[in-house]
Amino acid sequence: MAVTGAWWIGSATVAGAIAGGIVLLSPGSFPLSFAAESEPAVVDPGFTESIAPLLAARCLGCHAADEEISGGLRLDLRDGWAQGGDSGPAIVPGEPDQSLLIRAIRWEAGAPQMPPDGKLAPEEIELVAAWVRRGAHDPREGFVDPRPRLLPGQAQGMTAAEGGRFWSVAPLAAPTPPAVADPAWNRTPIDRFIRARLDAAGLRPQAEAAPEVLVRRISEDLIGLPPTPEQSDAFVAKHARDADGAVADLVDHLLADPAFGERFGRHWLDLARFAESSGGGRTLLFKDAWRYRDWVIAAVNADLPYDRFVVPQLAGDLLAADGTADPATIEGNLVASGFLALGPTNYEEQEKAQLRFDIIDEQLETIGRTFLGLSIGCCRCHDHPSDPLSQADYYGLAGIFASTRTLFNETDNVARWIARPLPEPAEIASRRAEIEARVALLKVERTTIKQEITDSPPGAATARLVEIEAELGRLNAELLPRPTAMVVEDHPTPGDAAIRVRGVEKNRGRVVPRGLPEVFATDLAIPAGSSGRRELAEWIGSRESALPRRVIANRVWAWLFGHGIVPTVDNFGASGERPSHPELLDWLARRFAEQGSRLKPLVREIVLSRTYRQAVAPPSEADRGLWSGALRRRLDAEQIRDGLLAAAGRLDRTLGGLSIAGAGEIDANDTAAQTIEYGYVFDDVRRSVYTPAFRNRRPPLFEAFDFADINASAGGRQASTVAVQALFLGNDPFVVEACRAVAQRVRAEALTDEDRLDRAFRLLVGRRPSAGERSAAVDFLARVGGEPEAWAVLCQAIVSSPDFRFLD
Amino acid sequence: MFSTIVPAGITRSRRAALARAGCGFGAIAWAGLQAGTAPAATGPHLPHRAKRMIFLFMAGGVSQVDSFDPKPRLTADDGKQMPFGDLRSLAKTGTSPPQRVMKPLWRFARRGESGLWVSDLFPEIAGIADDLCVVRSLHTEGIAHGPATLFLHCGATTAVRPSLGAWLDYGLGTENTDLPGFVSLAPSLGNGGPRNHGTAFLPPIHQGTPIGRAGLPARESGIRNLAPPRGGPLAAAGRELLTGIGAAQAAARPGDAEIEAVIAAGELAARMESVAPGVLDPAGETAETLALYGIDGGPADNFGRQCLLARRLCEAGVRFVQVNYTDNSNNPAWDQHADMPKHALHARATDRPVAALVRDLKRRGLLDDTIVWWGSEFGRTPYAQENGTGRDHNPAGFSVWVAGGGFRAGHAHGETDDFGHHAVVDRVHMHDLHATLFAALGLDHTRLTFRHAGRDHRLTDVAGRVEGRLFA
Repeated sequence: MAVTGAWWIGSATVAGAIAGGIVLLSPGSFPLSFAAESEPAVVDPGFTESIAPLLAARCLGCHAADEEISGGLRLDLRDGWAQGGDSGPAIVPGEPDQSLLIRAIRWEAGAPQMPPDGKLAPEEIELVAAWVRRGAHDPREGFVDPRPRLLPGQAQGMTAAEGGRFWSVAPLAAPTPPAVADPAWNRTPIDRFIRARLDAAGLRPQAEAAPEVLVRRISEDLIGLPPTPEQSDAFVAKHARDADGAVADLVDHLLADPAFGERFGRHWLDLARFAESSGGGRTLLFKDAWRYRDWVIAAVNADLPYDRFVVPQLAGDLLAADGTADPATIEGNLVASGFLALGPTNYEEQEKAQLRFDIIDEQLETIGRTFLGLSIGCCRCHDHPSDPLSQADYYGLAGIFASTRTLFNETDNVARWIARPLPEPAEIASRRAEIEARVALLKVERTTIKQEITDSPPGAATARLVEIEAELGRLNAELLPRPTAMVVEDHPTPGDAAIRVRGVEKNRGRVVPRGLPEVFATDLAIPAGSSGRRELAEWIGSRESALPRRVIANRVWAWLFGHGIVPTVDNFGASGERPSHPELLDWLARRFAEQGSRLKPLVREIVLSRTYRQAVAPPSEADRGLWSGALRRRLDAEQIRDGLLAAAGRLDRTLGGLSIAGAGEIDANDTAAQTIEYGYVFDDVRRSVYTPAFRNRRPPLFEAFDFADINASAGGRQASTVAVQALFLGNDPFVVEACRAVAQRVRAEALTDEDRLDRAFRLLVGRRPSAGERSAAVDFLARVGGEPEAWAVLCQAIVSSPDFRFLD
Repeated sequence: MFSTIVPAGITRSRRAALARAGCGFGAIAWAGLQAGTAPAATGPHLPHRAKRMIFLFMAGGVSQVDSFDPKPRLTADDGKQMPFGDLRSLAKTGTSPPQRVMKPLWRFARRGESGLWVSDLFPEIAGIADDLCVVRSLHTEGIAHGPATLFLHCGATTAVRPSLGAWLDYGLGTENTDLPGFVSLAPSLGNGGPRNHGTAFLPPIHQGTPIGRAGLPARESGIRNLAPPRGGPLAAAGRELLTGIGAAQAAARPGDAEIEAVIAAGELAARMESVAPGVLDPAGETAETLALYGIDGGPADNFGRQCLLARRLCEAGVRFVQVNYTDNSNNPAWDQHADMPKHALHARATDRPVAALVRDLKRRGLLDDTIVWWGSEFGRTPYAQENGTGRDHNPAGFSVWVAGGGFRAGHAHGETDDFGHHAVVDRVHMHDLHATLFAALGLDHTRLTFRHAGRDHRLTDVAGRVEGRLFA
């Protein structure tokens, strides 16, 4: 490689600068003459006199015992460089050009630049190189412990055997719901687990929530929208006759509503760090990501069994042509595999090998958090400090994803993902072929005619040319771009990955076989010529895999209660919290499998429980761990936006479809993508799940109300309370306009001030005003009169009040 | 919802209140809002002089060899083809063709009593040379704008990490009761966009508040949603109505900390509505001050307004102000790949305001405890890009400067090689610069950590070294 750098050219001056800048060695101990290559080898050609002092002055500060040994390399003993550090032996005696230490002090490309605080003078470099060339004689004896060292402050984590017995990894138990003193209270077996613990703690559950509270809670939890006052009235009436029947009917009704898929699909999209642009660095629009979003929503609505939901997302590209000819299934499988490609990839990263590993790391971290509740990412650089995961485990998984292609052409200046054409219905495909053939024919004719016109005077030929252009125009307008999906695909030559020592891509350690972390004690049996991705996906989706089943059962619980049985929903490792009700969690995981691993029956079972239906406990009695009452929760950003639009009568309930106009095939070097994202005006009135999910531009409401970090998998939202929210609800044009629309509706739908007040409160907070609220409102109306704008101000005061943000 | 963050800096009584409230982040934010401030996680660890910082971000990459790092060899060898190891070529292909040496386009001279080298590119900054501490041996990660810009702000090229300003706000809290602690003026949406002032996994309260955005004139920029939609008696009655409804709701759930937090946040918002417009409006400044910053309708007018606003925000107690000289393109501002003379255009827009800011802070006695940090995500190559008239990106060696806040004045630290390509003497990595700036503000970068995804994170990852020789 022609890599010298500017360094050599200016060597004399730089040497002067170094000599003047930092005193390295006294002239007496430092022979400033080059060792000639012809010089005969001697026993100790000045190691003690020249090399040792140089090492002491410039290297041993970081590479010696008693220091935090950089890169694991010791240079204070012969054994230290012979055995080497993370990157292997530092010196090959007799071969300076092969010796990493020499390449490092020369600052060669691909080698570390040592010493990092300033290059040695050329004379010094040559001195060391000559010493290596002569055999690197080093008289310093001593033993260097070859075992890998943990980073400072890092404790040894669990072994795989210990991990296998850890609560989250151990096989699912088969608990029997305990007997309780008051069996009449129970509605589902869930209640027996909860009640037994409450009884033991001497606590009593709350009574059932008031029906108008319950209908709002169930509706918001299941479809993310408030009930209309009419739906609420109907439920309240039915509840008075038959409470259990009313709840069951409501739940069945909502589970059948496509909005259930929008709500629970949104939970999943948080985990999938779903976005429609890449964000980091030069943002690029993921023009086909909406298909993945719609697939998730449809899969939830179709209630796909969990394995059939998981496997396509991790290996849909491999399933696509597998045992089915159904175009919709093939399309769904391809689209679902976009899960792996949706990350905040920095396509602009110039170190392309690094980029590949950053993508693999992001995929592993996302998979670990989403499906396993483990922070696998820790092991990119070292063994896990607390969990039973080693660096070898990480690279065993990384091999699977290194055997997977996520980039179309990784050497592109700005790389791109892989877009794969989707199957088209037969009639469209044949019409496309027809048009393409006709276009080719017309183009040939056009060329011929243009030649004729050049050769002879215009006439009939010109008229024909006009006809051709017109027909081409019509055909091209009909020829829509072929639909594609973001996918990944297996590498043509899959293989195992080498451990990257300390996570540095270029520091290759031993190669580890692809497979699951040792703690799971399962051989994936990866067939030859496959990446192993499909086998991994099938293991994650399997009802026999205890950890992923516990993780998903806990997520469903947390989505409905706002708090998990394991509170750290994304961390089932040693640093996470323990389950408050381990038997209940295992019971739920088994129940889930018994009912076909489908989400809807599990949701139904939980919502019908007494536990779920309790009233909110007063602040003094609220607890998070035992469920002696419901927890008051904050509405999330989508519920605030969609609820406001619904109250205003403006919500567009259209399902699915393309979300970003113009996000077609934009070249990575074209700025059109950035123009669309940066200049986007968020003025749609569709459900929030369909609002364009740009990574660098979020709707202001989402920013203010803790929308999940769109760059990382997240099992829960934060619930901050900051001034920006008050400014938003008080002053943002979206809220001001929505409140004007609510006011207009209230004035049209009720005639007296009293009825109008009821209506405004019911539309916005799902209940009639309290006496205190009513009296404040009556005072207000008496002061300012009942003009339309006064009602708008009144509605906005309700929206700005605390209760608007909370769900009882 | 699942956050259980308890900052160490809160008082025992507030801790007790939290224990009683027993609920997550809403309660923490409430605790902060009782004091009207973001809670400091740790407070200062170290003796320090600086209380606040202004970062003047020169997006795109100012050329060090045309500004603060004179290299006579560039003039001597101008036009020669030489074997430079071009980092972009090496990263992508492992090889590098020879490159044409290009001399600086501006004359260098020693300035002030310190004799610090500054070129004619920055005549006004040359006039404050004796206040500057120039680091000529900075090096960083990322060869393209996106990765390098994220590394500059968040200490990572790809991984999603909190921004430097969010860390500062988390570590030190704000100094005021009416304004956010971290403000970014006219940030770009490009090259990482909001991540450069985002919190990632730190609590959202530490998010940088943008004022304006790249491309929007400073005189039209403000804090989003600061202006109420109506005024007059109706608005006043509406505020009273909200107070009445809030009181009724609080009374219905006595002891509910979350309701109190919402009410307190609303009160802070009302204070911001009344205080912030005065801070943002430079109407009270003297004609002399406006002229000092170049606010005269000329080329420096816009950046001058932003620098002046930075000073006003600092005076009002904002901990960290970032002033962005950038745009929304993929090749922002100073990115002269094909046209080095265009550096002059950007110098005309920034030189006077930058110098004015340092002078103004100094004469007001604020420079002693305010750090002014000027710099880019990387520098530029000493050779012409593709034999043209521009320079490519160079993260291997470039110059930034800091002024005030306890840094050595009239001092240059470190050296690049003879051509200004690689930092070679007393190298300072971007992680080291972050660590050093934090130390100047009293924070030990190794102790300012936040637990996320199973481990403690920090701005400097597992690196960073405080360069004590930069301190006076």
